[in-house]
Amino acid sequence: MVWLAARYALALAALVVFLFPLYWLLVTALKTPDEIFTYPPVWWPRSPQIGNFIALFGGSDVRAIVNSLAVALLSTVLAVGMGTAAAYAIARPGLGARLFAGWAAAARMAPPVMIAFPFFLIFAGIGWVGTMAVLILVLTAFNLPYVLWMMRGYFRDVPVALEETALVAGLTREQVFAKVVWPMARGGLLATAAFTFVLAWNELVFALVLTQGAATTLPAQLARYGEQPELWGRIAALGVAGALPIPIALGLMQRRLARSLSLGIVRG
Amino acid sequence: MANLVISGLQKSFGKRNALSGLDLTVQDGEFCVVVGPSGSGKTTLLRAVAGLERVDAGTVAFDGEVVNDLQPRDRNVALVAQSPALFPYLTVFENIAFGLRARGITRAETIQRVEQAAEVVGVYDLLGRYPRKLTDGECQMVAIGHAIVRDALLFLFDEPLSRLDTVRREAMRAALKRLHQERSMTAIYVTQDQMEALNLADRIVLLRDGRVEQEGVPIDLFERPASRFVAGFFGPLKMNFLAGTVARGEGGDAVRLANGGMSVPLPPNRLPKDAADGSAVMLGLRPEHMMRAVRVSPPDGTLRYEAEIELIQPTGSRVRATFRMGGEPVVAELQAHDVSAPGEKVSIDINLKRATLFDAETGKALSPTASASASALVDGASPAHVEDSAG
Repeated sequence: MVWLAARYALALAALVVFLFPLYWLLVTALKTPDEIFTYPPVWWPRSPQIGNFIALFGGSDVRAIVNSLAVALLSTVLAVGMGTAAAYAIARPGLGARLFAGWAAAARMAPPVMIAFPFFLIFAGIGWVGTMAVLILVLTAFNLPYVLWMMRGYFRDVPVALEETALVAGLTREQVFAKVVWPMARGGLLATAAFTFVLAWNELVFALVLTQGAATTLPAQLARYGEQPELWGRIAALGVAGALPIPIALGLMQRRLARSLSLGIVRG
Repeated sequence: MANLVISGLQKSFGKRNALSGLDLTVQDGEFCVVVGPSGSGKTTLLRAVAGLERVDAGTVAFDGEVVNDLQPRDRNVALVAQSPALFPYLTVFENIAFGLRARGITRAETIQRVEQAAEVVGVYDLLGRYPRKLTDGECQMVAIGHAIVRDALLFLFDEPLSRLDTVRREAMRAALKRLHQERSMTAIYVTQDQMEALNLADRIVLLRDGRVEQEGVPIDLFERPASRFVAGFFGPLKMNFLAGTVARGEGGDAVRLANGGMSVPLPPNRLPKDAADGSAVMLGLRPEHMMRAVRVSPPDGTLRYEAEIELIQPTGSRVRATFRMGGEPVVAELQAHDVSAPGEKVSIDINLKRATLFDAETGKALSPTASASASALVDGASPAHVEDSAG
C-alpha cells in the first residue's frame, strides 16, 4: 500500500517537473504584460488574453509557422524516401554495406554548427542562401543518415528466410518488397518518419544560418525575437504554436504505430 | 515432375567449401533422401537447386534444361526450409495459400487445395490463426503445408520434421510417404534421422565434405558400405571397428587383431587378390550380425566367440551387450532374454560373411576376390564415388 502510494507520488512529481514548463508557456501567453512580471507570480491570469495568439496571424509569425511546416514535411518526405531505399539495399550482410552505413553515420556525428558555416559559404557562392529550398536540401541531407540507420534496423528484422520463402513461392523481387518487406517494415517507417519530422521541425542552427526574411522558420523566428521583455507574451504564444503539432501528429499516429510495431514479431 | 541432373556443383563460403564437385541425379517420381554429418553441404545443395544460392561451378538441370540462371520463381520448386519462417501478418490459411496466390490460381481452387493440404499436415483447425499463436511444431507443419499445396516440379525438404514431437513426427512421416505414393512427387529430402531416411527413401545419398560418398537403395548403404566413413555414419547402431593385419595362410585367410593378437578367420575369397600379407585393415562388424549361439557347432562362415558381457543396454525386445574382443569393446545386438546380467559368459556367433573389411589407410571398403556369387553382390555397391573417400 505504502509502496503503491510512493510510486504514484513519484510519478506525479515527474509529471509536474515535465509539464510545468509547458504550463508556464501557455499561461505566459495568456497573461497581460503586467501579469508576466509581477511577483509573487500569477498562476492563472485573472482574465486570460488571447491577443498574443491573434497577433501571431498578423505579422511574420504565421509565415514562419507555414515555412516550418513546409520545410519539415518536404525534407521528411525526401529523407525518408531516399533513406528507406538506401537502407533496404544495405540491410543485408556484406562488408560494403557495413562500411557504407558507418560512413553515412559519421556525417551525422559532427555538431550541426560545425558544418553550417561551410554550407553557408557554398550556398552563398551560388546565390541560394536565404531560400527555403536550401534549408530543405540541407535538412534532407542531414537527416538521411538517421533514416538510413533506423530503417536498416527495421529491414534487418525482416528475416531473410521470409523473403526466400516468398521468392521460391513465385514472387518477383519487386513483389517480395511490396508483399513481404513493406508490411513488416511499415510500422518502423511511420515511427522513423515521425521522428524525422520532429528533428526537422525543431531544427534551429541551419535555419538561423541559412534562412532569413521570408524564408525564416519558427525556431529561427523565436530565436530572433531574442530577449525582448516587451515580446514575452508573443514569444510564449509562438512557442505554444510550435509545441502543438508534434503531440497532435503523434497522437493521431499512435494507434497505427502500436499496431504495426506489434505485427513485427516473427516466429520461426 | 522432372528429372533432376546435378553435375560438378561447387560452392564455397569464403575459405570453406560447402559443395565440392557434387554429382547427383534424381529420377522423375523418385524420393531421394540426403543424409550426412552437419557441414557436409546438404542445405547448400537444396538452396542451390531452389535458386537461392548462386553456385561457383557446375550445373543444375531440370529435364535437360540448365536452370543455373533462372530465378527461384521460374524454377517451380517448393522448399521447406530448416527453420521455416511464416508470414506473421497472414493467417495460417493465407500462409499456406501464399504460393497459389502468387501463381494466379483461382480462389475456389485455392480454398479447396489449402483445406486439403491443411488436412494432410494436420493444421485444419488452425487455419484462422496467426503464426504467433502457434507452437514451433505447428509452424513447421504449416510450412510443410505451404510447400505441398503447390504443383511444383520438385519438392525440397530440409529437415522438415526436426521440430516435431515423436508422435507428430511419425504421423507426418506417414503422411509424406502417402503423398509420395499418391502423387509420385519428385523430392530431395534432407534429414539427420536415419529411421526417417530408411522409411521414406527410394534412394539414399550420403554426403561428405560437399560430395557424394555413397548412394544407393537403403540396404546398400547398410550392408555394403563403400567406406569406413559410411559404415560409421549410417546404420541404426554404430558398426564395431577392430584394427588388424591380413594374415594369408594355407588353411585360409584371416585378420590378426592388432590388440591381443587374436586371429579372426575369413570366408574363402573374402580378401581381394592384391591384399598383401601383413597389410593393415579394419574389420567392421555390425551389432546386428551377431547372435547368441544356439547350434552345437557354428554355421559356415561364422566365428563362435566366448564373450564375457560387461555392459547391458536394453532397448525393448532387444538388448545391446558390450564385451571385449582382443581388448577392444564390441557391441552385439541380442534378444532381450539372451543375457541377464553383466559378467555372464555367453557364446556369440559372429557372421563373418557379412563383415566388412576396410583399408586401414584409405578407409575404402575391400571387395572380395571376384567369384560368381560374390561379385554380383558387391559390384552394385561399389559406385564410382568410392574413389573420393580417400580425400
